[in-house]
Amino acid sequence: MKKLSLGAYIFTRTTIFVALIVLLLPLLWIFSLSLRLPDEVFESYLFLIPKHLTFQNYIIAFKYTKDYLNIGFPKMYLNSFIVTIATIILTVIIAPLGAFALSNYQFRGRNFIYTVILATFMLPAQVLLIPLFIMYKKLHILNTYLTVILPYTIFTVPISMLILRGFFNGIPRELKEVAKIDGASDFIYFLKIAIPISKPAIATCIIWSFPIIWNEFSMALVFLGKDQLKTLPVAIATIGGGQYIVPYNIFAASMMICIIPILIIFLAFQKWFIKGTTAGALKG
Amino acid sequence: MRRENIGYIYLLPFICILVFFFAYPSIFNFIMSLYDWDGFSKKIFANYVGLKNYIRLSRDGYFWIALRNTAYFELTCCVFQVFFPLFFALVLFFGQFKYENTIKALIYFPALISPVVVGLVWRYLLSLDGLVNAMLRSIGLDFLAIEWLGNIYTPIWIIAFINIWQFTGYGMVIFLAGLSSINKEIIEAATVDGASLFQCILKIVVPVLRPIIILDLLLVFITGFRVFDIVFVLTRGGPVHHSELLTTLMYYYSFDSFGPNKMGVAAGISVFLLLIVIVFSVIRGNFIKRETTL
Repeated sequence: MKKLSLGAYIFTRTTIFVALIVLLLPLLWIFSLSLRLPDEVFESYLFLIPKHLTFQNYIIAFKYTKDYLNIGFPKMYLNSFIVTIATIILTVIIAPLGAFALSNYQFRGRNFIYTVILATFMLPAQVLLIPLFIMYKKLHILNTYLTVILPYTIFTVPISMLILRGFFNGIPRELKEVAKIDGASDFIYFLKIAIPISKPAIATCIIWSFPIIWNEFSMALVFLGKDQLKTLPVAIATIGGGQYIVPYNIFAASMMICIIPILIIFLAFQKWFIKGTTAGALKG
Repeated sequence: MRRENIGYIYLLPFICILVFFFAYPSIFNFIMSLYDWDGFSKKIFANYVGLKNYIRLSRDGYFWIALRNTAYFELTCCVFQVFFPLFFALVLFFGQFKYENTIKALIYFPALISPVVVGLVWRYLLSLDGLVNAMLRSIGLDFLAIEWLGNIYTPIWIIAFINIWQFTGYGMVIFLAGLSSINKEIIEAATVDGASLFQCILKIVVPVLRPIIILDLLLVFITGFRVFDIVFVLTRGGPVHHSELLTTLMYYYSFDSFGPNKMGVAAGISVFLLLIVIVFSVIRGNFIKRETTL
């Protein structure tokens, strides 16, 4: 391709540079704060690199959350992890089955189901709060992981079904004919052929679902009221609120403890995240 | 059973989800909105009030503020959460960057952080002695170093800004996916023929991106109605409910321990949200179906 003109070169570089500053400076600055000694928080405030590096804030943050939020980071992470993994397992069982039905059978009401799938797209979690709260109260299951795991599937399964349906539709018909000649039933074909070759699509669904569930807030807030059951976003939301004040460097370290693991996961699966975003946004 | 109807068996688990977590809540919200219930007393449907909850909402100043705020929020996000992602995507696409993928990843990353954490970070940055005010003071704009979240005017715009800040990369990634289907050689050929880059963008790129722009717009609009966490940690709807969105007002009416515990009124807000989101989600889905090239 033709080389950029000098003006275009300067313009594009400046744009991206400014964008990166605006997007990343807040995070970098919180990171810098988390590495400062308590009495150096306000020293050379605007500079990113602290005078003395210290990691003790991170250790204090662990103790601090345990004392003031009644739940430590390990437990928050465990709760979020249980809820996320369980929802993803449910999703990768339910969505392929449904997607297979949509792509393989011409049953009555198929178009209706399809429209309903579209209607559930990005449903606000808040509209589910009252009805589910009452249902859970009657069933006496408030404050159990199940109260969030089950409804989270309404956010993950429909889009996963659309992604997978597209993938199943793309499987050559001959493959199914061959399976039939070999005497395989539809279900065997689904299990032994359709699922194994859809692994990339299933991975896309998992990646797409992960941040939605991991970051979900309102349902976890209302249904998991007990301190020991709180997921990461719900537990951390109360930091520095109410009666007590959290020191800035401890606050910053706590934020980093929430961000760093996500950053590591992102770096490990970067391509997949970007693929998942695109698939979810353009298909669902 | 007819062979084609076996499909229902595969769909059964999904239909269960739909019944319990979509159909039931939708209907229940509507019925609940016709009753007055405080959330504690044993009998839920004891107090039928007809449309009184809706009338109460229409006379409630907080509801109109929340509605106005939601409109401000949606409008700002729909403009900038399309403009910035599109702009950055075009700059990255045409800019011949050596580290394109790294830049893409860096711009995208904030979208993955939990909005609660993003809200907390910004709450701190915008506090009286936070980074924003320190920067303003350092360049001599002391009069601008105000309590950004402590007045009734700025918070809703700040909430919109934070949402745009967080999800610009998200939209950019979507646009870049659309741009990747454009053959750069066509543009090169056009520029050789004397077309300016601007003309190329207008004549070649925009037509390709048009459906994606519409999709992104609908996505931003629909997801705007589920924003809750940022407001919850940033202002909790305050001061005096002036930064409330429909979602947070719904929470205030129902589960907030300082709220009035009017489940019926909150259900009324839910019905409103549900109707808007379902209508636009179906429009969006049908649009995707029509644009088969995606």
